[in-house]
Amino acid sequence: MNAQQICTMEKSIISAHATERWNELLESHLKSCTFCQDSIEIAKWMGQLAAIPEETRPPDFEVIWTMSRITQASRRRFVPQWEGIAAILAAACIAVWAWSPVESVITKMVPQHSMLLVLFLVSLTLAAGMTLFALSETLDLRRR
Amino acid sequence: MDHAAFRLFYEKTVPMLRAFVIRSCGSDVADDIVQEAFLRFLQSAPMVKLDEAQMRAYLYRTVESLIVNRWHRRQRDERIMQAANRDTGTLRPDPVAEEMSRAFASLDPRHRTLLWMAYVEGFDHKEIATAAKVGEKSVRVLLFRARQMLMKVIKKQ
Repeated sequence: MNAQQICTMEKSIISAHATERWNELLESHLKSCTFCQDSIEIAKWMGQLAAIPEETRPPDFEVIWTMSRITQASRRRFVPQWEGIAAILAAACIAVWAWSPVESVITKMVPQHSMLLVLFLVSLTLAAGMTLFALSETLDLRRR
Repeated sequence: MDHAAFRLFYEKTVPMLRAFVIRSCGSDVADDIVQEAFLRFLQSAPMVKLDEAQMRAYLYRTVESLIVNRWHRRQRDERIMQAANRDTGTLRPDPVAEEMSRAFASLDPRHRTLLWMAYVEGFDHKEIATAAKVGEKSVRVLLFRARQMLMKVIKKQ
């Protein structure tokens, strides 16, 4: 018998064995079907195995519940960090993408030779902001 | 899932799930695995709506993966394995129970899970397929092989 010849009556036979409710059809099938005979033997063996008493109690569900709450709370606190970084990166990307109009506005306000200084100051401010943000998140994580 | 629903589900599910883990890898690590499986379940449960059979299937899948990971770690560390064997040997004073546990633990991890889901939990092939992340046809083939392996073990006893 191969895997394609699995007996379609197996479930009914197992169920009859578990509930001890047999009928003539199932009884006669069992006598002639080696697959179902094996199934009964396996079900009995597995049933005995599952019924071996345990000497210790399972973990307390309250402990698991509390641990999951703590983990979820710390995850929720952790999420804004990534959101913050994403927001800064997005702002930087937009600034780079829209630099031409920004540059033209600034050029109107300051003389041409000062543009490099403006660019330097903007970069410096962004770098300082990101460093401060990273530092505050690191300190916050350590406190947790 | 709220506190009351989890309590109900836990009390209904944990005896058989824990028994499966104990028979698979010994009582010394069973509670760690059970706890980790339920924690993972709770952490992912709010994201998806599952019925009870699917929740149990999820737990068995998690437990199987945790057992396999631990089994690989044990293989790397022979000392721990020997300690575990000593442990399972001393924990069960009933020799029949001990022999059955050893026989079951000697099966391939995937075969153990399939047999347990089919013959202890009473999962149908569709539910087993979901839990094992394989097709229903593959479940038939895998379960057939698992049965053959177990029958060999039972006949040896």
